[in-house]
Amino acid sequence: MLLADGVRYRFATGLRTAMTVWSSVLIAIAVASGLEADLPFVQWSRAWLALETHVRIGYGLLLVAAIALLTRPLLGRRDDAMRDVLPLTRTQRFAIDTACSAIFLSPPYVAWLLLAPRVEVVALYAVAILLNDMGKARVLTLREPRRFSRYELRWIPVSSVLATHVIALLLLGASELAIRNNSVTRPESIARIASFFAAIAMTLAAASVIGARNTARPFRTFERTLPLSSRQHVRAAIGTGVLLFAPAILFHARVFLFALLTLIALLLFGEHRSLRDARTAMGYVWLTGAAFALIGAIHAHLGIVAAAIAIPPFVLMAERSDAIHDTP
Amino acid sequence: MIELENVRKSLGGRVVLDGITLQIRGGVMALLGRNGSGKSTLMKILAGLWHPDSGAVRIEGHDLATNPVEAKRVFGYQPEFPDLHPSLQPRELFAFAASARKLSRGEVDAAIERFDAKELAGARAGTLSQGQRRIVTLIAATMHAPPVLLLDEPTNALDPHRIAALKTFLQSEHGPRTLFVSTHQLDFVTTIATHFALLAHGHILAAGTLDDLRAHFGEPDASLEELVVRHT
Repeated sequence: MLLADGVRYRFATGLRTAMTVWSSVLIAIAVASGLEADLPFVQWSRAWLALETHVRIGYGLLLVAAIALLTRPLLGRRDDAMRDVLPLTRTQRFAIDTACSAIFLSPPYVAWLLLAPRVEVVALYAVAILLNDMGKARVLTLREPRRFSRYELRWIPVSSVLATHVIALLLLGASELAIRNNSVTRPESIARIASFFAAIAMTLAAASVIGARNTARPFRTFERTLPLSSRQHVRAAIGTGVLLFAPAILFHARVFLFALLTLIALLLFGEHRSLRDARTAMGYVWLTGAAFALIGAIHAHLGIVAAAIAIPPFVLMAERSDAIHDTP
Repeated sequence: MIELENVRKSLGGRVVLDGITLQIRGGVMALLGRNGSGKSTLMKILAGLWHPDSGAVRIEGHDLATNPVEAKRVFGYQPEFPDLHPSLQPRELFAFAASARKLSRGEVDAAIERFDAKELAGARAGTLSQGQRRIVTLIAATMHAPPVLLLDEPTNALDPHRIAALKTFLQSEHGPRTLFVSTHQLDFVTTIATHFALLAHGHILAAGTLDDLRAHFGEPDASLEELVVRHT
């Protein structure tokens, strides 16, 4: 009973929101399938397994640490006084944390099982989250936003942006590995693989931002009272977008197309209800899906179909997320 | 009983609490002081949310550093900010807290009834007002009828009806044996508190009854408000 109540509490206090980030990965998988591409995950797995063990462990730990850094705040807020004053033993906390991590990881785990025979990355990811919880590795936890270097940074803390850059770089490296180790030469295949990893990078960026936005609510409330035009809002959102996507633009020219499409979508749909607050995390996730739909449209009709099926629930989630956070 | 022994805490290089020693052996003690004097820091340390840099904290004889689970069984804590996740339904919090504290459904319902909050239990916290959220945290803090209760600014944003319900509860048989309350509402606190502790710049200036404080500061005719304004 305690386990069920604990998981239900955590589900209501962050886990449910965290789960939505997987939608983007599922969309990416659906679109990749629609593109009839050699699935990047399969290619990546082969490239991954071809590496020497110690190299794999090194890269794996880096990747897992980075993902844990981003997702830890989503799996249960730090400084939740109502939870932290309850007389729970370490065993009880561990059981609840484990159950929540298992639930959180289940969508990518299932997707991975369907797409590739190896699950070691996901397993490492799970272990890292558990260790992070058990050891209270606060150094790996996103801190409260302390400063906002410019208005365009809005409520996104600098630490989140830096973490996003690291993740993007790691994923772009993985993308390069998948391309080189499989001798992929066709430009379309290269674009598909690069876009796929970029989509994951965007998803994790969104995860980071979701974690950050919860801690910066008072700042956002103040911000809404400022006399800013929608043009200024959009300009600020683009500034933030450029900042978040800078690694993709700077370090991987092919993904520039992806970032460009994202920014175009931001300009085109800046006044759409779910994007009026396009600088919100779910706005970015929505844009990830939208950009993928565009790529799908360029490459294959099936991609359009897959994206058309997958994106509407996304929009609903984005709007729901906005509604939830519009607190009185 | 609450015991603080030479508690020291720094935040960002600034000493917030410096050598706090205090014993509260039952009754109601109010913690008074200016904004930023360290009241909420002290409350968080008492609730086990923050750890002191040095010193010891014991609640009903249980050391918070070495036996936090037993200590948390015997106190209830209402935080200064009722910062509930917007998508949380209060009944989910109540169910979790009841499971952790091994309470029956009846005990939870009684706590909800006490503060006339039935209609709040199924709502999303994001749709509740500040006062309603405070009521939710108050219910979670008192549902197990703890012998020690820690309240941080309990009356902020509460309507007069809820303040009256809170007073009734505190003075009832279900109320705590020891209540430690941090507040700026002197009108409220003078109706319930028997003892007062004045905190300034991380130090306890004086603690005791109003007469003790008057004697300490050599002002036999001063009101509580005058003592607080002049000395903290």
